Amino acid sequence: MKRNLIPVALLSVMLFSSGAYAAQRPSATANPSFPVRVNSADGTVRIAHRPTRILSLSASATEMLYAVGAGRQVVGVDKYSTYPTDAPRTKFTGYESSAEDYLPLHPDLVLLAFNTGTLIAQLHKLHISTLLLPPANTIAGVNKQISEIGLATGHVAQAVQTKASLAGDLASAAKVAKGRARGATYYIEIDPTYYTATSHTFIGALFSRFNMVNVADSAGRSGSGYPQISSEDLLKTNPDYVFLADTVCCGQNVKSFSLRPGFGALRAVRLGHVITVNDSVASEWGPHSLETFAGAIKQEILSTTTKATSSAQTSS
Amino acid sequence: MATGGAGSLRDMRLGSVIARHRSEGGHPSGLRLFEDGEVGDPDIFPTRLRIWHVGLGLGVLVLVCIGALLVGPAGLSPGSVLADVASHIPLIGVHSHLSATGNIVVWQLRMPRIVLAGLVGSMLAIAGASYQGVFHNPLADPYLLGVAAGAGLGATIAVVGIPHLASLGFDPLPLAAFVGAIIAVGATFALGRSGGRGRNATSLVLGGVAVGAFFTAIQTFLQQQNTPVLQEIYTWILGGLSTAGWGQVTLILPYVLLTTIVLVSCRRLLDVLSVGDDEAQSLGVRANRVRLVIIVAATLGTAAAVSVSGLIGFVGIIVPHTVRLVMGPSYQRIIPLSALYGAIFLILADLVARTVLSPGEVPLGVVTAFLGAPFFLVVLRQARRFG
Amino acid sequence: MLDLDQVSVVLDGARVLDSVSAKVESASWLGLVGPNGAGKTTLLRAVVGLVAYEGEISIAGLNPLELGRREIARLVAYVPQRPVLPPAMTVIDYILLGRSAYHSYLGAETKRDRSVVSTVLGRLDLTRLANRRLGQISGGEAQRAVLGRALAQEAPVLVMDEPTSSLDLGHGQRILELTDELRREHSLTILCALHDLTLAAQYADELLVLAHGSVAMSGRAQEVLTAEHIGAIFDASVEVLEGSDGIVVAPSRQRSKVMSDARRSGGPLGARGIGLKATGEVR
Repeated sequence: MKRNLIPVALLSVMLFSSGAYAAQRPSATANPSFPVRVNSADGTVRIAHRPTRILSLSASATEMLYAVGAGRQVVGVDKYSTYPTDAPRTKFTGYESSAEDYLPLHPDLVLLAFNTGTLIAQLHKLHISTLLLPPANTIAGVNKQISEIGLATGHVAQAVQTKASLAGDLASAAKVAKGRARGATYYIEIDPTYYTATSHTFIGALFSRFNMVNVADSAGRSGSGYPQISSEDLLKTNPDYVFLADTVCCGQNVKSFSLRPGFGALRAVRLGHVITVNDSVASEWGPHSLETFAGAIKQEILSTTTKATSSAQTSS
Repeated sequence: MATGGAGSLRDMRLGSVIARHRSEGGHPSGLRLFEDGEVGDPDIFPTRLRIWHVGLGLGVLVLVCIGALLVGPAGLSPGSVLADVASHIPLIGVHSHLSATGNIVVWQLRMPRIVLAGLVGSMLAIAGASYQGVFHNPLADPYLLGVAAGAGLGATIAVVGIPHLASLGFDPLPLAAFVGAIIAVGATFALGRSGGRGRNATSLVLGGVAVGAFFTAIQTFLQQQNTPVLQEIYTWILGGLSTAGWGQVTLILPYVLLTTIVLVSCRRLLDVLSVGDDEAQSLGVRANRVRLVIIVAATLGTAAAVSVSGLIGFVGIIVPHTVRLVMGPSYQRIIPLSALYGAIFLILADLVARTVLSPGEVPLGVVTAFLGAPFFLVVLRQARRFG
Repeated sequence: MLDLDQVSVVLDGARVLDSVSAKVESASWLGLVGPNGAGKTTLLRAVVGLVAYEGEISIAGLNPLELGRREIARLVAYVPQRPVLPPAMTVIDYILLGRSAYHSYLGAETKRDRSVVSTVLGRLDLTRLANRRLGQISGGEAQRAVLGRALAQEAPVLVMDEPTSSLDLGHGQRILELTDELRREHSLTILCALHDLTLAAQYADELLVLAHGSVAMSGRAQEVLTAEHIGAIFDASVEVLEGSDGIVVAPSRQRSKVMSDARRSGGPLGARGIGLKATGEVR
């Protein structure tokens, strides 16, 4: 079948650079040779050569790039990419409105989480390939992005490994928690005005691994994945666990949360199940962030369960 | 005091003169009070646009365009860019040494953006000037009748309602914004007419306020329900010119051209409107009809401009006002010069927007406010000094 | 030249003009007088075509309802009582507005337009003020400018609404004199509302007296303006005297005191609802 495809490939490849023909020779590693077709949120992208100058404008994409071993092909990451710490950070935010800004880096592949204005179209005009990977809604979605990045950078095997490693990490975290939080309700706060994430987000998907139930789901809000509920909803649903992810932006902590009117009576407050986390957990779905947060959830479940065994249980 | 006989003779003469001219379908200018021999000097100088006013404006425009073309983060030397531009002018034997990428940067990224800035700035300024003339309100701006609210709502609905915007292959935002703007102004007209006394200026303005408030409320509600895409919507609303190729220019060019032609042609009528509807009527100008034509044209053009640039404020007030302070109140000057200087203003503002915080960008609406307000104060001071 | 036949105007349900008929001969001056609220302005606006009316109006034998806006403007020029004078507009531009009737929708001004304006400026002694702004000239000069704009329309009929009301006596006389000269030079037909009865008598060929929306009387000044008529129509006390060039209507104080006495005692003209009691008169 490959022999039949070569003339067709040759014809289309000749429209691009002649170097693509050389890439038809099988490479030394067990990775598929270029060109490849990758699935981006804005359609299929054809990547002619193995990219050597990758610009990542998404913190999650940066994590994934390094996780699959493409770190040496990265020439720049956006200013919000925090992991790994030695990645070549730039001043770019990913919301530039002119692709010219990126030209001094001479990128051949740009990874984005959002498309601002005509940025992607401009990059295409400059013959720079792009890969659009918006926030995932499920762990499966995260896995898919890892696969695409692996395929696009020529690290397919490592991508498979990364996915397995992530799955294994999440499974073991859930196992250690021994189902102690099965059926427990949780609320994750993204903003002090009660913006939260439902279970139809990557964050929610993590909690689902622990069989925890999201109060925003039961409050009847779904749809966008990040709805705003009211304080009454919270008092009514009375979650077992509260995770505060608005610590950096809005200075929230356990004390400020419990001092809100009527919140002193919340189960999570009384039993000490209010946990603060860094804001970035709500906006990063790379393997490292997911594993770290899963670990934090596991920690919390184990520690509170220990507390709970020594105090009287209240029926829910 | 004329006698009855001579009077009725003249009656007959006048009546037949008028009737004859009407039946001939000609302009009845034959009805002359002043016979040809007794009229005066045709070289008196009413306030009109002089050729050199236009020439100066065009010259500045060309200079600003070229200047803006030379500035950008791609690291192209000004000399090479200039050489490339010159190589496109026939008969001058200059050759370009620009790389392929440089070529794309100059002609597919920068030039369309400059031209778009010029078109949008020109359109907003000329629409603002026309609205000021039609509503006798120096604070009228192109968004008076709800264009901004309508466009914002249209854009919000597009971003919120279409889940995978980027996968569509074409950008639906401009179309949605345009349709939203037209619907809003249509609603304003309907509201204004239902106010009993007809389509007079005040009822239109009030209608615009009501429609604007209503559409903005819906827009805010939708945004609040869909916070993940808030950034996308706001990036659009705060105004910006992001171009990839000439698509957006060709998209709005017909509207801008048509509107500009109509408004420039109507500039004399705007002067007549300044004495009020009644007197304009007695001078032979149907105020309501003129107002309708001008509003429709200005709205169409503004909607087109807003659909690609988002909501850029201040241009529509600052530029016509400044022109008025310098050149006088006649719309024969204000309309054409607003078009020219609006283009220059926005090209400069966009230049500032993309260089001041490089690699980030300041939203264009913020820059226009920053640049415009103090500039206006300076001109106002100077005008006061000269009485 | 100007024929009004049973012209009525209804505004907001009220009958402001009721079956007014009048005839103005070509090149003559019809003075329109009457107390406040009699409907003078409404009548003038109907002639110019600014308000809907029942009945028939014909100008130079033509029905204005069948003519276009511009054609009417070439027939009738209007000098309103309170003209809008954009303060930043120059005198010459303002007068040039009068040429709007000769431009098609998108037409530009022509050499002839500028020639006519130049003539008008000269005739009205405004040439040195041509580039001055309307906000910088005096009331009398501004009134001349308004007249100039009307003149630039080159219309055979001139409709004026109380042109002297904002002017002092001297400037008022000058405007009226100018109007009369222009009338004789160009055979203009003048329909002019005036509040000063003496001036009306001096300048108008004939008078039309309106009261409560209908014609109270019409005819020459000598016949119309008598103390009894004026007393009845205007509820004013006057003495009509013979001046050197016509009649003079002089307000009379004595009669006024007698009349107010009569009113207080509940006489024929009655108390006006100002809360006067039948008892407790003040003398």
